[in-house]
Amino acid sequence: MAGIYIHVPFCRQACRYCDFYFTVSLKYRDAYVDALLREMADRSGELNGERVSTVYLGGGTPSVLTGAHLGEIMVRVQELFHVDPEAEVTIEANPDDLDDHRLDMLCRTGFNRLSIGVQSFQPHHLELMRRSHRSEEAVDAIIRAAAKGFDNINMDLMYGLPGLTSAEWEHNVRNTMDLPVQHISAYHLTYEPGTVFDHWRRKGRIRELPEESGIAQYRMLRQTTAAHGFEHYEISNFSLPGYRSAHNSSYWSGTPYAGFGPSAHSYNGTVRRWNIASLQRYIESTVSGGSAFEMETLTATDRFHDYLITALRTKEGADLLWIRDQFGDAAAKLLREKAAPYTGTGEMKTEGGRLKMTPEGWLRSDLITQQLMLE
Amino acid sequence: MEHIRNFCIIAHIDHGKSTLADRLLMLTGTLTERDFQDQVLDNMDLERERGITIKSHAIQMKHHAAGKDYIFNLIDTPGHVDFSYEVSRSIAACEGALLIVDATQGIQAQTISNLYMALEHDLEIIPVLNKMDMDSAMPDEAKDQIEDLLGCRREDIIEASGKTGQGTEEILQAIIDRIPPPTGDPGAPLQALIFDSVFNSFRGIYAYFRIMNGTVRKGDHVKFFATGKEYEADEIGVMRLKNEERKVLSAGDVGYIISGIKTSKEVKVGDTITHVERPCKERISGFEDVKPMVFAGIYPVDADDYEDLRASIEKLQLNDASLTFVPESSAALGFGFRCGFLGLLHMEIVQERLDREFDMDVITTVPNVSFRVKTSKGEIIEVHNPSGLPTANHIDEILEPYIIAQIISKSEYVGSIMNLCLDKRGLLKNQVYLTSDRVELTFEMPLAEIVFDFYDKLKSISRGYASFDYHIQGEKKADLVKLDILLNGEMVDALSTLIHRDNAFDFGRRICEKLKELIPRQQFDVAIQAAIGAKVIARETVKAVRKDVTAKCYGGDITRKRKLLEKQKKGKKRMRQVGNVEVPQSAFLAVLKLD
Repeated sequence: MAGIYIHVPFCRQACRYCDFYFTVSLKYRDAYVDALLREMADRSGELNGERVSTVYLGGGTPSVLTGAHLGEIMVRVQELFHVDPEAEVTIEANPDDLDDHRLDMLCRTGFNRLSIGVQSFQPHHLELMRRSHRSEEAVDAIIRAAAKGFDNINMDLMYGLPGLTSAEWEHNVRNTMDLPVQHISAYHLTYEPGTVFDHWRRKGRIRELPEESGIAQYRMLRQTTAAHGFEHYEISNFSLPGYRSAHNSSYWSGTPYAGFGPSAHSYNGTVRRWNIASLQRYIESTVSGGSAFEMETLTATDRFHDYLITALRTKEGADLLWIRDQFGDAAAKLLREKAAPYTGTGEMKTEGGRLKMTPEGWLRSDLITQQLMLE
Repeated sequence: MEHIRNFCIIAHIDHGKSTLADRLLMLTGTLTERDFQDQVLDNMDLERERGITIKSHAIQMKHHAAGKDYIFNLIDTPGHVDFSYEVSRSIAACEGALLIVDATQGIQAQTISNLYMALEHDLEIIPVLNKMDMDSAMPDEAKDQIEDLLGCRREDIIEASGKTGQGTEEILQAIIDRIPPPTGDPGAPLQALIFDSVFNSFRGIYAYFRIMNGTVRKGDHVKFFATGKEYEADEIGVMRLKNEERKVLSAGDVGYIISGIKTSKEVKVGDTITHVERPCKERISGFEDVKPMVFAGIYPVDADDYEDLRASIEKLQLNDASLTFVPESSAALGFGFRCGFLGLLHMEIVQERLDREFDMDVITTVPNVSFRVKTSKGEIIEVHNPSGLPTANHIDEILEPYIIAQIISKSEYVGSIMNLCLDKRGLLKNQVYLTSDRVELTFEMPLAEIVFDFYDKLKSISRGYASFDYHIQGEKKADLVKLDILLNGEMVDALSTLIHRDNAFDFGRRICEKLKELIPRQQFDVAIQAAIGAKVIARETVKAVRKDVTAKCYGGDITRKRKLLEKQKKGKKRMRQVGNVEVPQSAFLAVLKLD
């Protein structure tokens, strides 16, 4: 089993919180697609003919590509890789890109899952974040997508935004519950270095939401989604039964994946590599038959840490037997010892041979994971 | 002897002593253009950067005038309060002094106290107004001050500029005309005053001396009066740009002696050198065994560097006899040393030299002065460390050192300076207007109050204009308490201080506030308390981290996430562990600078 990730680095405009790699100039779309097709061909051997169970177009905003672009990409993916007929094929899209015509096109091109960047239903927050769509557009897009037959829709939401009141947040979550979505990715805002938000925060132009409010919003989100049958299966992800994101889950479960496009990450079990985050250099190097990337070969410690970092994000947690198998008795024992204080506080628990973080523990997952890591 | 002139220079920091000295060296041909090096007399990097001479040196010049050959010995003086004893010995080795005053700034406290010292030793003073080339020079005002202070004639003041060379000839002539040649009997028993020493890794200690009476020859059997130790004079000579060996030196001469001494502790500044056979009857007056007045713990940042730190301090001590150290340990900081310094600047210099010359990263604890405690059993013990203070019921009386502090400032700042000094338990003893807008204030103050937090404040309230000098006056009874800092109930020994009862509350509050800023939020709430004995007098809380989560972890970029967590973990490892609390190094340093 393997996954394929394709990074589409174009956006119509820059959201003020985002630190993913993107450009707002659309003029290199053709050149990008040419380079991407070339890269996929050049690196198609990396997956060793492994069955591909997920394909994910992320960004950026993949929905800014034309139907022709997307068609070419998906055809090439099918040609080059052994894609499972049942594979989950996701595209990230902005609500304002999803008119009926494009929904049809996406469906025809083979996408069976949509991830829609709604973020908020509050006009003033959409404005603050500099999102390109309006609140009603988002509702409309989702309803129409469902009507067109998309039955696996994720919606992105953000909380912990400056000035977000509990009433506003409750409104956002309840609105979401009324929509035909099967999956919700809900993130607490982080102020990433280099973003406008981070700059504004340091200048005092926006004020960070008090920690307590962020925590309350997290709990409210958990309660409401649970009441509607959603499972909180990863720190920021909620789904109806059977609708977990298979692609993102592969990141958390150690499944190999190949990433194409600028800044895309790949993992084959021992090596992590990532393309450089520059469209210009990506195109130049790929067209000339090379590739510009960095890589690291994981040491046993790296692998252990990666496993903790990813596995503990999920509801299933880390498999202690597997750890003993892979990293030895001592590592497993040490891990249990280091985790003991947190099982005491109720932030972790051991269950069925697995070490898990509880939803309360997830609130401090970085701090706790750090403590669990080797010296 | 008729043609020898021994003199020193009295000047405030940055008043141009070194450049003017260079001028004299060049004009007398001691220093050629070729080996001209900025500020020859200050040959330590640190000194040059700070513009202060830390250790005194001496240099001999030959000067030909009116058909006669003269020998000038310029004895340099350290320019900071902490070294006032060493200054006094340099002055005692001279018959005259150049008083250098910056024409743009006028007389400063430092200059005055050294000048008084020179006058006490009956030195002939040649006033020199330097930096006359500057547009901002105020020669008339500065001359008024000098006239007032010295009671000299206005025309005796030489106008000069180290930068342009103006006045250099005149200064040389004044040295010949006004400074008396040394007196003394070359035939009398040897009596030489040690005014400085320097460590050389090949030859051991060079002791610098001035012969008051008698004659010394290479190979002589000599004795150091205070230490009682005897040596062979392996080599004697004079200090030119390089040392020049001599067979004989006699009364009036300034020179050096090498006698196989390996550590600076054996050579005490102010001691008298005499012959083993035919010794002088008494030593030269004014000798004091200088004792460190300020103590602080110095700990390696990395505990593994403890032995390296010891070796480094030992090396420093080779040419800095006033530095003392004994091993001590702290629960918070591990193993380190209790070091004794002459004063706060001395402490800073040692810290900086450890950093620059030995590449040692150190943490210095809150400094305190040396207290004497009379116990209820009638014993007297010296306390250099808060942990050394006996419990309250065993203390009869605590004595703390007092100083006389002289501050010169523009009159507009007198009010705030007065407030500062009174806050620091100062007692105003005297107030003199040097000119219409310059005031000299004299306070009696506890030394403890200036080792901490005083210079910086004085500078800021006077916009850098106030100058400050002090000397130890004696000791007085003190109402001291030991103030402890507790983190989640665990005492942090490295943050304990001995402090006057009246200041304890305020200080405790400020230190808690400061620590609240510096201690990062942790897994648990951290209670920061200041306590006297069992009584808590201030408290702050660092709230636990309640939320620390990376919301997004995809695009498959696990590497970045792992590296970030590893980096944070490493950062925590560098912190000191006090109980369950992680304390950054900066917390130990920053309490030295409250506000």
